[in-house]
Amino acid sequence: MQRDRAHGDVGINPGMSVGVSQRIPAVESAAEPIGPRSARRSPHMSFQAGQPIKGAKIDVAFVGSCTNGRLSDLRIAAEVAKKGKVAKGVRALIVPGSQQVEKAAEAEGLHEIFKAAGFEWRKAGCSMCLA
Amino acid sequence: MSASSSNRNFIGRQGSPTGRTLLMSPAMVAAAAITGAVADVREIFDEHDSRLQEAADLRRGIPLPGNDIDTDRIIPAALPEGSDLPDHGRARLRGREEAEPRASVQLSGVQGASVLVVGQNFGCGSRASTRRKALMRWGIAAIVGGSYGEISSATA
Repeated sequence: MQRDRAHGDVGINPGMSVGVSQRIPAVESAAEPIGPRSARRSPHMSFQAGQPIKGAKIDVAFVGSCTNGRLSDLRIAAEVAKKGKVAKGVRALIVPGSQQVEKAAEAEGLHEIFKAAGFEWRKAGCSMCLA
Repeated sequence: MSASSSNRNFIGRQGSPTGRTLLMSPAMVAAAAITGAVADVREIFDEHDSRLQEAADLRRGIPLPGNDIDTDRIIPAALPEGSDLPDHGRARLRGREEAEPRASVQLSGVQGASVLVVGQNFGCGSRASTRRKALMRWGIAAIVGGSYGEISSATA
């Protein structure tokens, strides 16, 4: 598989993000300077400049990773999960950041909340980060 | 297209060679999952719901005016280095009787606050690790300020 070495230029720091109520910036007017290699990323993401990010359809949802799979993260995600069910056509995974977090989350019953809402409760591991 | 709380948004990651990834907080991922699209998690909670604050990662701050607040003012000076803190876990700032007497400041009274907003040279002096423990016991998760005493910045 040909690796794209340009992937480091876009979406690598908070300055390159947009708020949920904002729109996709044009490459030329983005807050952070974006090099020419990064312009290749824009077609990959298939977003148009000016497009609102809210409402972008998703196929997969992944709560987890060692970065953001803390017990506190799972707790707040569970509070959100109580508010609805996983949408049709979406595959949603919850992966605790470690086995310790996994045990603690299960002791609190978070896994049942997620499963009731249609999320998959997975074992701690690298999961989507390596897929 | 995946909504992910990880930090991996490389082209072709997240399970598909053409996969696209949007990185966001766990609360936002869960909101996107139940919506089927990127959604504002704050709209999922009633505005008076206490969970909204956590979902939106809002933190309450306590302003601590004054510069050069040293560690002896942050922790009871009677506690030797490394000793455990009193059960109430509260850090008290004491005024010191010097040429410039300063009124003591109590950190109590601001419920649910976790960010301390400080001035210049905060945490100067000695006993930085006890200072850190005192603030953590009180529930301070972060300090935002003008500058920090060297000993405190090294042991933050």
